[in-house]
Amino acid sequence: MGLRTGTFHENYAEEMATFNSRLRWGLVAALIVVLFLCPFFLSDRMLTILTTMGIAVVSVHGLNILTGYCGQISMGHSGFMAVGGYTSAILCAELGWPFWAALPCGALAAGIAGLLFGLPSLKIKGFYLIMATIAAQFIIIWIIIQLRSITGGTDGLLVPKPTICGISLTSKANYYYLVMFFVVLATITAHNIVRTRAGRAFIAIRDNEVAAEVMGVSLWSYKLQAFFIGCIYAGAAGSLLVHYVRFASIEQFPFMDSVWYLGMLIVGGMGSTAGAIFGVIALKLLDELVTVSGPILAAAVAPQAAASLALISHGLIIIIFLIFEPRGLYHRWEMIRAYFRLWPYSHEASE
Amino acid sequence: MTFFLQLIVTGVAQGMVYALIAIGFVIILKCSEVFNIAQGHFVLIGGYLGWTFLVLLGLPIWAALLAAIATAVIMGLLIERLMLRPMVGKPVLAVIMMTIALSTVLGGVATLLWGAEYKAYHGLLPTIIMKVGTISIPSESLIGLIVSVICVAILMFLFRYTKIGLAMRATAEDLQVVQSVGIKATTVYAVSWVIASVVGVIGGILLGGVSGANMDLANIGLKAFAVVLLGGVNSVGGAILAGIILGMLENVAAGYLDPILPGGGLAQVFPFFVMIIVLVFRPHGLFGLAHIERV
Amino acid sequence: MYKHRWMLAACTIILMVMTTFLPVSAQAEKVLYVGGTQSLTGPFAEDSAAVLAGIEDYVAYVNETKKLAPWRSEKFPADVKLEVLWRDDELKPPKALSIYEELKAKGMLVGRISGSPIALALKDRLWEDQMGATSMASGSYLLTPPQSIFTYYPIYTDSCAAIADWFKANWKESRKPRVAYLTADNAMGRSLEIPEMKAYLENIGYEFVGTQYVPLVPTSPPTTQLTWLKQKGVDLALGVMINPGSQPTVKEMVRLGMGPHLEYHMTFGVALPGHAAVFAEAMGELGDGYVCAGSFRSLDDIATPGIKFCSDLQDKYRKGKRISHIMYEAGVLEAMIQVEALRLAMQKVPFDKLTPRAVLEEGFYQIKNLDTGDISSTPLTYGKGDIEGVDEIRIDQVQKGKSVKVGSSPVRHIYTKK
Repeated sequence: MGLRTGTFHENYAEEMATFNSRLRWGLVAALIVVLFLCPFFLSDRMLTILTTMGIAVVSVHGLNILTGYCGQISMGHSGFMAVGGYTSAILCAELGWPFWAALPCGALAAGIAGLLFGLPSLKIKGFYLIMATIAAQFIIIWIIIQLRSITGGTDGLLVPKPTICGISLTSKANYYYLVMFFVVLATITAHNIVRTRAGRAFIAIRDNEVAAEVMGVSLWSYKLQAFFIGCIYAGAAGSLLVHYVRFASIEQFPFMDSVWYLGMLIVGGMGSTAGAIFGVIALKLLDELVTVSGPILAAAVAPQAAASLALISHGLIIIIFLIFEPRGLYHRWEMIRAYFRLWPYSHEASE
Repeated sequence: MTFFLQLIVTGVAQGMVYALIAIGFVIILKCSEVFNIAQGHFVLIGGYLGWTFLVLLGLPIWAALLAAIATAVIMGLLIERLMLRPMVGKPVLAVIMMTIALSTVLGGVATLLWGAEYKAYHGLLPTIIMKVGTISIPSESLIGLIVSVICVAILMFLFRYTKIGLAMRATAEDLQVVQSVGIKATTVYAVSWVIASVVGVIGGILLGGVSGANMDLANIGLKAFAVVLLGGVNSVGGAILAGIILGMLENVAAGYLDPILPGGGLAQVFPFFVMIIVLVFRPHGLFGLAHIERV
Repeated sequence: MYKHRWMLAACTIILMVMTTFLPVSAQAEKVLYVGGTQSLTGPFAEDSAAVLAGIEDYVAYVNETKKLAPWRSEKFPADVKLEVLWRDDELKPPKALSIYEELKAKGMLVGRISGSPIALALKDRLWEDQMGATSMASGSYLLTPPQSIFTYYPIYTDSCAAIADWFKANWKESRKPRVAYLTADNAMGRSLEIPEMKAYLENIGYEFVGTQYVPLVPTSPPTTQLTWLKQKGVDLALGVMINPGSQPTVKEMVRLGMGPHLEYHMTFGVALPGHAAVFAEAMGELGDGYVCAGSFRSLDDIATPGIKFCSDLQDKYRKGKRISHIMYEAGVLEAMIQVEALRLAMQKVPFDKLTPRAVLEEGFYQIKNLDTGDISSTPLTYGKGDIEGVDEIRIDQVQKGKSVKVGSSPVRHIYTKK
């Protein structure tokens, strides 16, 4: 992609800068301000939707590092979220820890679980790794059921209302702020991790494992790092989710969610921070649309048409993207930007 | 001892059904390098097709079976042409996501046509209770065993003695060579999807006779993956043996450990433990070929 | 052409987003909403679809006749129109939260619970908003503490206690009968496993053996679990299961020769979602001996006024597409409760001052002896802290392929409220 007219990279620092022009700085700052002003003009319902979207964004950022950058496909992401969610729920409910301390512990626990289930990735890849992570998802949920005395098993676990520094986070607006804080934090860290030494190693591993190893990238160390980092995001998201619902149950972490997180990456565009966000927004909006149009469809056709709509529409959107837009929404977004940047002299467009 | 033998017998019977589903998976994988996550959903569709033809339309069992197979053939052809053909040569993740999307669409279609309802057809497959000593052998399992053996025999014949079977084996070996000698790879792919879909649908009818057609039938596909991995992903014979081994192990483990464990439910998760163990210690399975990667 | 495609796609997306967030148009009429979240996807899909049909038909009936039921003389206010408002939550708690906010923003004054996970996610929030709700799930969690979710059949532990009472009353041998749980492996099934339940069983003279779990919807016959019960010499197995679970289980029992009339004598009893009538229809004589507590009457039982009413509703509003699932009755019942709460609240509070709290306090809490035409086992009575509507539990058994009432037992209130 070309740069905006009048922007030059004159030294290394400028080349590496996250925002290469004042305008982008301004836009991002404005976006963050708007995000934090949302509760003043949006309804409770919109806040609820944005909060769940935010939680998914945190989680998908993790998956993006693991799958999009490092190429280690994980279909157990929702299981790792469960580890984080349950850890922080147990710390709060059973041991009476404060929320702010429980959340990082939850994230860490998920990271450790990720390390553990990431071990097979040293020997296997592609489909085999997908199978290993699917197994991880089911084993994690099963272990949660087994540890009935602390997790409540299939009954679930009631989580006390979260507070930070005496501020109750039960109101929708307060929790929204908390989630948005994490979204911004996750986006910044995710964007930066891939620009570090580790990030470049991840990309090398994704593009060609053997070549990367020959070049001196330690597969052992970097694959596990990718699992650890990716699952820390998942753990934080799981913890946020559990404290949001104020109740931890295995129904909150179904296998299909793991699949849809990957779907979000595909729709948004793998291997880009913005792509992860685009994907979450697109699929969650589709979800809302399906929910709202359900009753209309049921009245017009039959109740089962409404029930099948969710499944069919999700499946179709993935199929359409895979066939017609395999690089995702982010790629399309860049194309449109490039088009308008050069407009009206679009014939000069070069990629 | 009776308890143990009972567990073994149930396990073998169950394992044959796993094997049947795993075979469909292996065939697609062998011919087109596609990991078909939607194999379990063929089973789901099969369960409901069984109900439709046996109960709703009241066909005799042979006619119902033929009708279900015909539907499965059409389904397999459509899926291959519309969804998988565009994915030839795409990365692993894209192809797998495609089969996952396919599984969701199949689940959606089942919901649309049959309303996600529980459709029982208990009385239709004969329910004789066979007894050997103190152990009872479920008749459905016996039928399952026979059907599975027949299916496997037909497939073996197909692979060994027919031209298309030879083409399929060759495609699995080397796509470029096959194309250069004038075999149409697309035909091979289409045939492999048809076989997988037919095998899945037959498995679905068998399972439907045991527990009724319902949306959760698809989950058995995930268990079949454990069978596939244990047997080695490119070995049909391995899949059958692994199916039986897994069925037995699962039942024995659950039978003895479930009452001790606080939460039970070991049978549901046991295949996944097997999966992890196999992947860590013997990724190519018991009978599969080890894979060497070159840059 | 290429550019047009993208314009088209963009327009579609914008249109989709707009329809999603379109507010309900302001209506001149006075409209009240009935319904709430449904789980049309997932294991309760079948039940939910039937309930939804029941709610729709009852609302259509009230709108048309302004009567509440053929046997009742009270009238629904003529100037108020009822409307059904529902969304599919796919049995996912986070989704239910956003649906709840949406319905509340649209001015819904009553709620609905479609399953245990949803109940646990919404219970506190409903209480904070002081909104009353009817519930298709009835686990013991509704009583910790009792808040604003009301059930129209007893909680599962009380249902199972009723079966235990009935079985003990018919127990002829001198030794203590042995009881075990054979229950679904989820929150619903495991709500049986409270210490009070075990204590009650041992108190009335049972020997408690242990627990076995069957997946909510098993994909293989539960041979292992049943063989275990047989080995332990269990006389009565209690559980909470839905039909997709109980049918294969009973089928396997028959095959293993276990049943009240088979060589190994064991009775299997489940709490409500097992539906004796649905079970009997699907299983025929294969299911003889199966016991279900708190079940609704069969839809053919036209002699009962409530069932006759359900049948008439179907004749009138559902020509050619009759619902044969028994939860249709539950739908009519749920709509009856919600409409009654709204009606009672409107007597005390003017229409434009109606709030969820008013409907809870002047509506749900004031429902006393609501005559349901015997759809529920007794007339319904609610109050502050009293969320269980009925006080008697009906016990049905499948005999010769038909569901037959074999007894009834008062609600034991096993679960101590906290």
